[in-house]
Amino acid sequence: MFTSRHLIALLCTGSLSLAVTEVQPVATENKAAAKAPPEKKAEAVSPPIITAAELPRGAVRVEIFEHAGSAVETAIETTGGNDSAPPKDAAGEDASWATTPSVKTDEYAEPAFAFSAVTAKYNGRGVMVDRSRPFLLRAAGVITLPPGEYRLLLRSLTGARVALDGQQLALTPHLKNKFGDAEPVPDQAKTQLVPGLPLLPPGHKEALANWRADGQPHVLTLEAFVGGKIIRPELGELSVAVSKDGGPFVLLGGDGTTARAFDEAGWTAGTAAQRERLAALNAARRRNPAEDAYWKMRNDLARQHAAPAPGASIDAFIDAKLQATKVVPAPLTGDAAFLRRATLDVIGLLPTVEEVAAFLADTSPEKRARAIDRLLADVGWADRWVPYWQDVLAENPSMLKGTLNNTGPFRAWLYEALRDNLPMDRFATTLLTMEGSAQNGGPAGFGLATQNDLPMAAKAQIVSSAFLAMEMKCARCHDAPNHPFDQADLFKLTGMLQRTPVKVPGTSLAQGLAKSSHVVLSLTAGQLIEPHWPFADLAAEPLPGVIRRPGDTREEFAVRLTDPRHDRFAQVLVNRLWKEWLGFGIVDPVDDWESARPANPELLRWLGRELITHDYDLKHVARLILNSQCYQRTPTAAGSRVVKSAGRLFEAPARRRMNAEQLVDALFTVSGKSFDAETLTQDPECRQPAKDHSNFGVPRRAWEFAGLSNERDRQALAKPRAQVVVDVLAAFGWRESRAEPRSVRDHDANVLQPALLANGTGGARLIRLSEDSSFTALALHAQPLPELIAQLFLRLLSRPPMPEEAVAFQELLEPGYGGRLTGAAPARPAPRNTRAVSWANHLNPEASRIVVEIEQQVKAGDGPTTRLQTAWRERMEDALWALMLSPEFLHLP
Amino acid sequence: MTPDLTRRDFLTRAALAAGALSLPSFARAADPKPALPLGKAEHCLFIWLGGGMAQIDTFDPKPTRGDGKKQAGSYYASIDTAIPGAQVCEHLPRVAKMFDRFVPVRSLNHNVIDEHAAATNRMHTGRPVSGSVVYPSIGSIVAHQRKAAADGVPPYVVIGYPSATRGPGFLGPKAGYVYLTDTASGPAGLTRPPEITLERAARREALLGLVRNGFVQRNAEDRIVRDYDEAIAESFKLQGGDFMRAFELGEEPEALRAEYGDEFGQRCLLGRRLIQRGVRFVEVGFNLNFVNGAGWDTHNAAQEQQHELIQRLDRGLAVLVGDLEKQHLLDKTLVVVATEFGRPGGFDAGGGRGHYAKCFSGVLAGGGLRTGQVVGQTDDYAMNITAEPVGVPDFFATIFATLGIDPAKNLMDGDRPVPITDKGQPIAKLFA
Repeated sequence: MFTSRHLIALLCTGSLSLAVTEVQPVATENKAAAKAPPEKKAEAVSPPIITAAELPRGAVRVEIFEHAGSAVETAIETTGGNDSAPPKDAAGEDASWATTPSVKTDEYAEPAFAFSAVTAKYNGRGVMVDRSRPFLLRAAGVITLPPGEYRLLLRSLTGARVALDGQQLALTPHLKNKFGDAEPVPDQAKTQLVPGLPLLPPGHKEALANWRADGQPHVLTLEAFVGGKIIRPELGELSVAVSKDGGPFVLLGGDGTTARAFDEAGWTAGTAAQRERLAALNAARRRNPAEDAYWKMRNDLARQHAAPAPGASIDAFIDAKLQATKVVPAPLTGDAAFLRRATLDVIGLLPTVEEVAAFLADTSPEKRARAIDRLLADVGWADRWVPYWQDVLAENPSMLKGTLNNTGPFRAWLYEALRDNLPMDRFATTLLTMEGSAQNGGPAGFGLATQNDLPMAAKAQIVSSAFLAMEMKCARCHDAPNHPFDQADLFKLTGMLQRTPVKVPGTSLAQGLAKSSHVVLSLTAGQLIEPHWPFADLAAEPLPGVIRRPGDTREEFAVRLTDPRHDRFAQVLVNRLWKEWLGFGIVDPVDDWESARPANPELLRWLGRELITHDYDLKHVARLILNSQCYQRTPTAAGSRVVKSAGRLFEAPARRRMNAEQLVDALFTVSGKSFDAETLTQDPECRQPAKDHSNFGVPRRAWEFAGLSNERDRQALAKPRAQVVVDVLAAFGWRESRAEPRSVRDHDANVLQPALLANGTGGARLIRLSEDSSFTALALHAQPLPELIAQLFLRLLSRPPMPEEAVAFQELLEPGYGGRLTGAAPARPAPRNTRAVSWANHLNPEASRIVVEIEQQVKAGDGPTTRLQTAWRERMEDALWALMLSPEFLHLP
Repeated sequence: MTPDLTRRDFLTRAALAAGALSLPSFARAADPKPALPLGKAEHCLFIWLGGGMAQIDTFDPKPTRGDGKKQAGSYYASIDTAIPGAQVCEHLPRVAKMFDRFVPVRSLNHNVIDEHAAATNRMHTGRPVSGSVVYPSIGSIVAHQRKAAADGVPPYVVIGYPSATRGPGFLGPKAGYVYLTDTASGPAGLTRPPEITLERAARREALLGLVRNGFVQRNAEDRIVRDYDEAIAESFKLQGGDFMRAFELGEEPEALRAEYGDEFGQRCLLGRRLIQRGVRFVEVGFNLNFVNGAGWDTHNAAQEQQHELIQRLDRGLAVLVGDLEKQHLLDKTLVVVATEFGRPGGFDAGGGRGHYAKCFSGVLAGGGLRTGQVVGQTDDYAMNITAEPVGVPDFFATIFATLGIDPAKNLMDGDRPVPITDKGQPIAKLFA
């Protein structure tokens, strides 16, 4: 084992058996960077010396270092919008090896020197916060490589360096905030140093080093800065790969030898596995026993103080009304239909063939309850509910410069909160406390509203409709004519969120009112409104021990909102859940209760109490609903009839259809295809500040998409691959811009919906039997044709074919079935354009031409498999077309 | 909390206010001027010059010539037009010859200076953003008010990129658009892929018919299922119907297609074919960014190829207006040339022009208006309005009035009345 003193001695005598023959930082194509002077001398501070003794074996130790006194970026502001002028933003410090961050704030282990993400940082309340700008990732491992001549390749977006036993091997330059919009469009295939490796991502740099290994253990360190002054905190794809004696490059593992191949498949698999590891690490980092103890105390208090609401079960309430009115309820659904509906409702996906088969074969009377428990335990719960809260809370991040009411991407916090199944009182409190990172996913992002003269008024309005079903929209500009609010009520709430008195802006007062108008303006411009809780009958003084920051009106707002002695908050939430799953609310509209009467007030009260007395655990109420006969009945026309809530009996659930996200996720999952969307940013090179550019990454579930709204109508800003999915999402009710909250989407049928599935580029991708389609694998599998047809129906409709369907599909697929295989090798993926279009070059006409070319490629569709005869393949695609387009696919059974 | 869910404190006022609901008087101009006669145009072709067209280099040229450096002024020479006394830049010769069919509006203005997206929004919705209302685009308003002029045709088509600004806002998806990004491939979703032969389409539809009928029959009473089933049928009708023939530009005489010229011209031609089939509002994006990269956002070196854009605009616009006239469509079709803002008379350090919204130009043509008149006068560098200012709401009111839509009426955002323009007044002298 070396100690640092030994190492220095060895270095001095030159007896260390490794030789660094070449250090070659590279930044081709980027002329300015190439011409830039070499890193200043002051920067040339040696890499740290880490001893093998302190490192784990077979793994890479990852440490995060921050600067003391972390600089947190301020809110998004829309200042200049001249696309050809550099923006101003001064958060953070420049990255420099002379002043590496020195405060260690995290440590964990990874299997290899390959990173596409790092852990997040959380505050005591479990919300993600920003690290210092920049922060430093330092990875170190004990490497023992068989003797030989090696080439080492460092790839990074940000400034990074690799060292062996403290001696620098490779260095890449720091990211610079450099404005450009008409630069040359680099060809990444030509930029990258080693042909054949995965395409170098835009803006990334490489450095190669030669190295002769001696078969002995050495300490390898990889350091990379993340973020900096005006630089968004993005890691990019950071890796160290080695090639022995001219052989293929492999990603360097913690043990040096057994790492994975450095190819597209290896990188993709490694990234997916890393994401899973980080999800677990982050979940542990969010947990704070003190915070949990506080909420346990709150929830214990809630149990003591909850108002009584007698009842036994949902069905007892529903059946009593049905009997009284002599209405016969609909029959229960069959098992297959139940499983399809529950799976879509709880995790937003179709059940797999295996799940359907196992469920149908199960004869236990408890099987529905068990399936419900399994689904409620699935992390898919979070994916299912994020889009709901994105709508209700108007999550509205913008990829490019702020427009109206843009927020931060607090989808990340929503996902984590739902994954953790936070008690709903804690969920609402954390949201409205608006702490953490504004622009990188924390609830502080909820607090932003670009171009809004009074952001907290918008937030007060959102929170009131989301959690109190009080629609205060009108009160923004005048006393609400058909709601019991006046303007001052909204401004008092605004003040509580703002933590200061509110000066009424003139722009928030209705203009030009007719003399005869009955709309009343009770405020005047410039008037000062004090923070105050305006709801007289939700006005109990906070319970003792609940307030943690006396005098903080934002906390007071949250505490009063979630006070267990009034059940409005709980009732609003259970009613929202009920509406999503039964099709109508016990009260409708779910966000505005002023003029509605509940269908079954006793049931509503009982469900609300169930939530309050069960730790505000929404999954508890979800379990009650899903297990009820009321939910498990067959949807009928009678159940779907629109009547006022007061007259509703719930003799059957209403007919519902998948929402946009469920449809898109179901279609892509069942076809086995990825969205194949571009990275959702206009600045993949990470040269522009967060106030103008965001990066939402590569979407994997439908809710991860963001508006592609191309206000500038510029080809080079289009994302043709993502647009295909966004078109389908938008046609089915997803909103590209969520400038205002919405609790119920427009679910009306329109021509574009089936049209996009029937003839759109997205529909064509889904049915195309390309090499990556799960249906291609199914078609290649040796099996009798009826078995193949049964599989199609089970996968797509969660049921076996009916006799006449089996006959028709047999007739379609029989011709050529025996000889369908060509015996050919699988088709190679079509070559992709390797030019890196970005904000830095989007005004170069070449960038427009490239994106138009990509658009044409996307329209041409996925290439078909070469392993099936064309005529039969087309028949099979027609079968898929009919099943995916069928109304049965879209509508929940 | 009582189960009736109402706070007692507010009961009285709520009851009072309920009576006010039926009065849509809210936010009407307090003292409305006498209403102008409405126009009789049936369609609108809205040509969008994204980036910000420089008025001094196009429709509001000035005698002082700029040098691309310190000397502000027109970048090009000016030429006379068919409107006596009115000049345009030398790269608009075809439009100049038939300028009596046009109305240059030289006194547009708003206060969104520096943000393309925000200014684009202003010039599509006609009003400043508000924290609590998402306003519909002009195309959506026209679609909502006038619907399509024929069955089986969408009322509103965008030739360009989808964006929230072009969307329906509070009017909801029914007032949304169908879009296409180039004339060659037709609208997303409505065009049957070329490899699907009629025979194969029939095979598909027969199979779908079987699966679909089974489900629809099992749920015969169900309106939601039936609606979607009808949407499927409609989509097939649309796909095989007259509307899709609009995209067969090859049906036009070769000479006319050639006259329309480049992709922008073909878009104009497609626009004409769409309105002939009953589309009410077509937005034609002039986003040929492969000409100079920046399109009309002519900062810095983008200025050098600006004349190419202007020439392409000249050709497409002149051929369109001439063609509409020949087909007796010009009186019932309002052609609008709009942009998010203008540009100053002076130059930036790179020889181009920055953004300028205090004064800029838009153009109207046809629509049964009293064309051949100039609206608005500006100073020596086309940067200050000296007479006849036309605010964005007035411009919108003029377009609505031309299309027979009362510019003073209210739209409904749920139960809330929202005036269709922000107190806009149509330009009176354009109406007979």
